[in-house]
Amino acid sequence: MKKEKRPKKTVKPKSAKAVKPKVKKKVKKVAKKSEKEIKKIKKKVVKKVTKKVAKPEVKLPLIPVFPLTPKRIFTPEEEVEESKYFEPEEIRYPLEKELPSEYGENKIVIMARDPNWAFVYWEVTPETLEAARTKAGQEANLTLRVYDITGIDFNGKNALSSFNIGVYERIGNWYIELGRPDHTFCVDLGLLTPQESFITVARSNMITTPRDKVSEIIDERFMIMEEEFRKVFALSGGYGFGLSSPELREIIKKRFSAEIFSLKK
Amino acid sequence: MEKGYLVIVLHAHLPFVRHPEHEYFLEENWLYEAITETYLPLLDVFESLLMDGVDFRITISLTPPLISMLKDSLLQDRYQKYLNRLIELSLKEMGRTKGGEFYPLSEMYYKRFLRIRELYEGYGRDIVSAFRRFQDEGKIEVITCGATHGFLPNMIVNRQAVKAQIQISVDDYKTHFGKSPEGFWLPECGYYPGIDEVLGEAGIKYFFLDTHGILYASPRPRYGVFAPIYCPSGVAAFGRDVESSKQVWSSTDGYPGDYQYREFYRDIGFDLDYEYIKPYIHPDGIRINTGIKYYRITGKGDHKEPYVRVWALEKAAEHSGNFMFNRERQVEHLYRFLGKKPIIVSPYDAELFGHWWFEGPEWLGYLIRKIFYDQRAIRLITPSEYLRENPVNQIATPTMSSWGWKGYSEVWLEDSNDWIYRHLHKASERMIELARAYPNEYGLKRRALNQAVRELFLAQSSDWAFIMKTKTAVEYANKRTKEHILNFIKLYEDIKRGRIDKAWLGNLEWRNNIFKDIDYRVYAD
Repeated sequence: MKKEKRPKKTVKPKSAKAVKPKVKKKVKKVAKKSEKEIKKIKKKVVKKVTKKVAKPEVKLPLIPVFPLTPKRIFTPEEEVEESKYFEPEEIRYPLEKELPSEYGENKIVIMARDPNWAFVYWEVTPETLEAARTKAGQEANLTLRVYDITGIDFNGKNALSSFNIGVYERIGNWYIELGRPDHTFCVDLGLLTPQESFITVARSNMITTPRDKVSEIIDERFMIMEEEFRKVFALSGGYGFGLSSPELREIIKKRFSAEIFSLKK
Repeated sequence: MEKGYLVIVLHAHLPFVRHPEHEYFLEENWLYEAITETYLPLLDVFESLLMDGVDFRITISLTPPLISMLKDSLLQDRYQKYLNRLIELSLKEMGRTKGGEFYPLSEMYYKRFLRIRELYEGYGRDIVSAFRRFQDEGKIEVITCGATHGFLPNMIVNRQAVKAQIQISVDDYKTHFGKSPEGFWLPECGYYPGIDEVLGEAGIKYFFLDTHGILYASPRPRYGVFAPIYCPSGVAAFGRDVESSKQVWSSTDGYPGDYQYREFYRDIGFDLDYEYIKPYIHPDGIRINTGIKYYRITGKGDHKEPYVRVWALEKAAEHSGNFMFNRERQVEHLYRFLGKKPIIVSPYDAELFGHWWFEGPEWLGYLIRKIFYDQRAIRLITPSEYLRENPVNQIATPTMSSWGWKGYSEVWLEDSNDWIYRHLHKASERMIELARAYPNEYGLKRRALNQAVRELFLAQSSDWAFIMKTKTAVEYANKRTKEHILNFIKLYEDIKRGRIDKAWLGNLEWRNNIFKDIDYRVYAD
């Protein structure tokens, strides 16, 4: 698991609500432009999406957040699905009321996004935070502690490994690069003191990241030669699924052929 | 004797877009277009196959929101009006184009729309029952899908929410099809280990996954995607075949991009004189698609030539031949190599056929006929038939996957839409709380509890997150998500306070009337 990562485009993790306006605006502008372009060439294959530029701030710990996004590529499935939802730009949908910014609880939730990344969101009440600070000292920082709990019955102390992400917002969300497919994780939200003691405020659910390669487990009743299985894999489209850009396909193909069978050479 | 099987799956879905509170609502056109261009043309193809004695098998998922809209009398009335105006426009077009190069096309549209109306009225405006008839004939297998197409991997933190999405759709299916569904289309093929258990508890026998969901299953799948696997729960998972998928899906490498086919992006709603077309576009004068399109794809550039129907149909026939030829070779090769009859699973969005790829329904009709008359290697089959004939399959756990970009959850969990989950999850938690706290309510409170589930369901549609990501109708998607959540919150608070706003609730029930007979206690156990 890498510790050094670029921060997200926002300086600090913010609440969904706080982040929204800025991001929305930015994305919209670009989307409009590309739509126009697309109309012009009458072809809707590739859409470019903003590359978010990170603005690191000095005091922010270096942490895993956002993947280097390649050009946004529509799969043919998405292209078709998108064509169902036509709507001219002129039509507006004003909304009188906004969603609550918090629900007044101490909670953290983790969601698996792909083999290497997860998303967490959290909130903690001002009272809880205050009480915890009284206990931990005013220098303690709000922190996410990510535990690898693969294959164990986690009791808060027996994680295989863990790492911290300093956060500043009472209500926030974060993308975490876990870098470990097929592993189980959970996250604590808590306060970390300068002496490295950690006081948990809320614990998340558990997730298991998806495997990104062929399983090493083989069912004896369905065993075949390695070479033969590779062929089955290839015939099944194992070297090129889910991709629509030849360029990306090429990258992944290289990665796949190198790694997919890495354990069974 | 055949050497392998082909399963064609059409996934028909639209989010619940019904707005009785407005005289005209643009998003309802998503439904009207799909009826005109996809659902009825597909049924027309099936009718002709049946009439000619051509045996076939197609698997179709009809999602509960789509069924609900197709069965809704208000939307039926509105569709009828929509269609009549379209007929009127096409008739006007015949006058306008008379003697010109577009005349045969305007005539084609006119006749086509008349045929669509004939079918619609012939079915008593009940498209769902028309599909059911083909199921009862044994030609198609209708399967179900998440209650409002919720992307289940992003809901798994509340197992009850996943369960409700599955259970309600199974119940809904029973009322419309008079039997239990065998198969389930996971919205966006979104799978997370454990979802199969919930499906199994609801009596589902099989579902579909994208290729890698099967290939990365553990233990290793001996036959790749060419045989289903049984999840430990006993529910079968079928994997998508890449080759056949791409040939049909892709507008660049696949059939739909052929230069002879109709160009999707040239519609008279945008092309014609404003004053002339004004009565047939948005009442505010905003140009929209009418469904009448006169050009063929022609080439890569801006220049477009008129569409020639005969050429396009010849192309569709050629492509269906090509598809069949490729499947025959594929199946023969796999049969020798695997020592077993392979199953090729080719799932598509139903709306790909007709709406996106105008000639798609004809292509499908030609393909079915060719398979029936011209070859022996492939047999069309439904997954349930396959499982009855091939009950022994490997047991393995698939991996979390979807058929979205990059193959996992990112489409529905990224910058543009990640903010929704905090609220959706909270609402699910609260719904569980309500269902447990009020196990035996009746009267107004019961109505409020039921409506709370409806609002939660509607907020959970994966369509909103998808639209936020693709930026097609993002403001509408934002509004829909927020409105349903806000409605839910008010209901929650009112129920807990014991003061239900009767008039407001009545209005909600009238607007968001999906799942008429829903029972909120689906969230209780």
